[in-house]
Amino acid sequence: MIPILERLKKEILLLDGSMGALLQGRGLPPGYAPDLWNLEKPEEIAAVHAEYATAGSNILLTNTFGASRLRLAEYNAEARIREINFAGVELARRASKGKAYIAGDIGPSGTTIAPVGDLAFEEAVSLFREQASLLAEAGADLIAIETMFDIQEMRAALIGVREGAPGLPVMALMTFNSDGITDSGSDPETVAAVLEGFGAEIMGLNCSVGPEAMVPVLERLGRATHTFLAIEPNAGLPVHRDGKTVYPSGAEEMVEFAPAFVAAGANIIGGCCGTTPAYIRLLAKRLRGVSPVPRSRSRLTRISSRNRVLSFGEGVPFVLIGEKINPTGKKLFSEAIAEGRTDLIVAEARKEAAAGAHALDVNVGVPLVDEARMMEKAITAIGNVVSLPLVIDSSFASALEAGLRLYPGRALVNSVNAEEERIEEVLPLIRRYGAAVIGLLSGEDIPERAIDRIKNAEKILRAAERYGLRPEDIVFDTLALTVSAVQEASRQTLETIRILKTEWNARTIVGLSNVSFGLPVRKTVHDTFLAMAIGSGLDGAICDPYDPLLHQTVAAASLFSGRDPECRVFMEKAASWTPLIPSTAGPQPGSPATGSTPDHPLSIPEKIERAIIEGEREAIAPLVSQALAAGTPPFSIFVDLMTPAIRKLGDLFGQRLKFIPHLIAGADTMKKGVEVLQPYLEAKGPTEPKGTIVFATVKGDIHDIGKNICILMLRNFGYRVIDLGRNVPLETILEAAEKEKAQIIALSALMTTTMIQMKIALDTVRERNLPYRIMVGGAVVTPKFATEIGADGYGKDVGEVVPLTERILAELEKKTHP
Amino acid sequence: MKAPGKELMPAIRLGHPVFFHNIPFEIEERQILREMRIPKKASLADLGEPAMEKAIGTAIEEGYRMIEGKGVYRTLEITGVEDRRVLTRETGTLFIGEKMVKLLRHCDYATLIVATIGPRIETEVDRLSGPEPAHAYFLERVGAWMADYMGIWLDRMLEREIVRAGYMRTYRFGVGYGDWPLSSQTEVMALTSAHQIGVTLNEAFIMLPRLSVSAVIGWQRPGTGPKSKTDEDTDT
Repeated sequence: MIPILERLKKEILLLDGSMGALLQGRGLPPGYAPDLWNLEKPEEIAAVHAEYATAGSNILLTNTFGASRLRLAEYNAEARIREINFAGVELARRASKGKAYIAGDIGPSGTTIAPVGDLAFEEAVSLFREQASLLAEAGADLIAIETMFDIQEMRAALIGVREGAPGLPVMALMTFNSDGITDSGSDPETVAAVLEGFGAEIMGLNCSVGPEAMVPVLERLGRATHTFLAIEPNAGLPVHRDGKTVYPSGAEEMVEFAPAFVAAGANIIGGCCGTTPAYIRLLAKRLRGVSPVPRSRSRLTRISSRNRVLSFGEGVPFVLIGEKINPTGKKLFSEAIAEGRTDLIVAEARKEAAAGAHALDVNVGVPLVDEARMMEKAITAIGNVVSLPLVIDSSFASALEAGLRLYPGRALVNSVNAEEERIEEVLPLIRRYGAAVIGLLSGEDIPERAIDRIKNAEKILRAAERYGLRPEDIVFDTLALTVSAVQEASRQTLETIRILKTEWNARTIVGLSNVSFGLPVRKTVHDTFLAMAIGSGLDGAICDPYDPLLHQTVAAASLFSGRDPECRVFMEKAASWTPLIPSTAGPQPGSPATGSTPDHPLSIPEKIERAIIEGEREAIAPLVSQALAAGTPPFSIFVDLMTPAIRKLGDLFGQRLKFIPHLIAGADTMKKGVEVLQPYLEAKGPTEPKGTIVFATVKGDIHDIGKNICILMLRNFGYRVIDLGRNVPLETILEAAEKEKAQIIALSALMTTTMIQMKIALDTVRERNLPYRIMVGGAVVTPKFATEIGADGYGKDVGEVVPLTERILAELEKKTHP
Repeated sequence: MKAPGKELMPAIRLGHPVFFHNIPFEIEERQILREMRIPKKASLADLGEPAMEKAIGTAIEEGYRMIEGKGVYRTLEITGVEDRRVLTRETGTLFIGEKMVKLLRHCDYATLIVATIGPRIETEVDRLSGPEPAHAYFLERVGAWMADYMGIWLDRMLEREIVRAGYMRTYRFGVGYGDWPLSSQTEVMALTSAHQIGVTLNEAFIMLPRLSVSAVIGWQRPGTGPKSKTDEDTDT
């Protein structure tokens, strides 16, 4: 037979349809593994294959979708893995009578893959490698990986298949939901970038939804890649009809989508769940004489995270790679890495993303640290919170590999150079993990002349080809050297960029910050260099994304380098830029804020009020000190300034102009102010508290944030509060109330199951005729419940705790002194 | 008895817990503001209050550094429905109560979910409670929403599986809500092996870390039973 990839250049080939549904029609019991029938009922398997071959299928998928060791283990059949896969190929081969290609079919592992899932990545690779190796040995013409929901599992499968079945073409099919993304959040463009990186000969989609929802996904794939495309739709989403589960679309309805599939770029069309030989027969008839739509090859380099693609090359936006995740010269950052912590890495990643970086360089190289382990942790932690593509940066191959293994997308590796040793350790990793690589144009030394750097580029390119990589897998770093040290070398960098762009149509990048080293006004120096480099054809830079001048330089230079058609990006960004030279008009840093005017600056008392109402925690202590220094008595600051302010805040809360967070921030601010006053107030002798409250979260309940905030509020108002904490037994509460001579017991609960402890407390207080008033609150406590159990007071939230306490104490006072 | 429609079901992950670690997440300012009961504001900048913006923003950034999203779900095949309980192969004592029967009466499967953000936020909240109560409150609210977020993430992952199999999902019903006793947590934890994601129970059946959620979702045959009301979802 003609090799399948040759035929695909000119013909649209047909796959088969559903195997499971047809086998169930032939008596396969519900829940039984179809793969076992390769050995137990081979005649039934052969008969289904023959039906599809007769209907016109050019490719038959073997009945081995679930025949990996892990899936077979669910039926205690893992020991028969070899027989089952061999029989699968043999049965399809026999039924094809030499007229169809046999695709060894591999399905998902049935579990989730690290870092999100449980199965270690290399274990997953090993599973797929074993099955692919058996299918290849049995004589399959190609390997089909189907129904993958997670791009990370597809990566493991592709590595396994490449290693287990070297030389066989691979058809890699993902499953998308009706919203056009996979379960793991990857869109068609991301899938295309990742699968292209692995050099999948055929890619596409199968299962899950019907043909209508698949057309737009196939169209997007078609625009994103030149690779051959395959599609296997379900006969719609399953529905329950008359007590049975059925796939709603018939063969006639399904085949109407064939022209749309072809227009979108399909080279292979078949069917998945619910499709039949009748559908394949109609498909063969409809597509007779129809040729595939040619698609052109892109020369862009694409990298991706799990859900975002980034392109390098001509005509696309200039790429900014954040350089900040790097411990060099950063003491705290280095210490965090040495302790195995990722908190500072995550914080930096978030900041770089917010500053407008398009990708992040990740370097965790600290002496004596297990860099491979740390790279795994960093890649995982960053991936949890930032969706930008990553550049994995290390001088150790082990760290590069650790990062590549866990990275659920297509990474850019920083870097390989022209040294043989480095080439031999890095390029095999690029090939295995489907990554792209920065080709640093240094060798044994750093060449000054452009011509020598180009020679190194040639050496890297030739080596890459030896390892099966494409020119688009490489982005060349043209070496931006320090201009103050070697001035001519910087000019040669620009020349190198020009040659690589105009003569090679290659993609280029520089590490920017070193250019200006040793000079004053560094940002101006390296941003000017950047503008010149973009003019020469530069595609991206590893740089400081926090530099506003850099963003403006890139946007402006992009106008002159074909990267910003109709100036749209520039105009959009310019609207949000603040001028680099501060205007002389308007407020200056440190100028008075809201409420003050140049004619009437706020007084210290007004500032104290504002600090409490606005929750300006850092402002209050100096303001209180200023008031003391101005001669205001400490007690007056508390009673005449701070207490009215917190009351005013409470009024604003009552009017729904301020909310709970404001109350809490205000109370916390007041607390900080009181801490300044405390020594002065205590020096005047003890003050009489307004009342004593014993406060606790009831037994069995361990939530106490609400209780703590109420206590803060009460203390600010001059109440003495005994905080017993959470999960407090009733007897402990009563003992404390007696010892502290409390008037009120305040109880908090957050669980419906622990609320009952409030009733027990009330009943006990009444039975023992104890003098305490009991007030209750907490997320699950309702006014109705409070009334039912006979509580003396109920507070909905922190806003009510002070008025409630005042009311209860006033009632007590009235009773005591009528 | 098996429902008649099951013969054509695509593979369902039955019989074992499915674990998720390192769940990717985003802390949406709008959701945090809702969690703090501040209405109508979509972002911190909308508050127009620099001090508040900074305080809540700081808590959000700390959340990014401290949250470790993990989850597990396990799907059980329903084998029978009685007046006050629903039976599965694995248990006849877990799904009890009138509300549970109402929820699962028309379902072929029930999936237990447990999700957590890990212990770091609540450890920090406990530490800050005394010296920095406002900060503790903001951080706790971030954690509370994000525990829900992890539950919703699992819920959505599961919902796709349910739809692909031709079912509708029921609403999410939390352990300890309605007449489903909190003591059922013991079985939920055991069946899901929740200790593998770091979730255990205290003597009052409260999950530790506290910032965790547990619930059940049913796989309901379309056209039967109560409609999914995700807005009214309850979980622990």
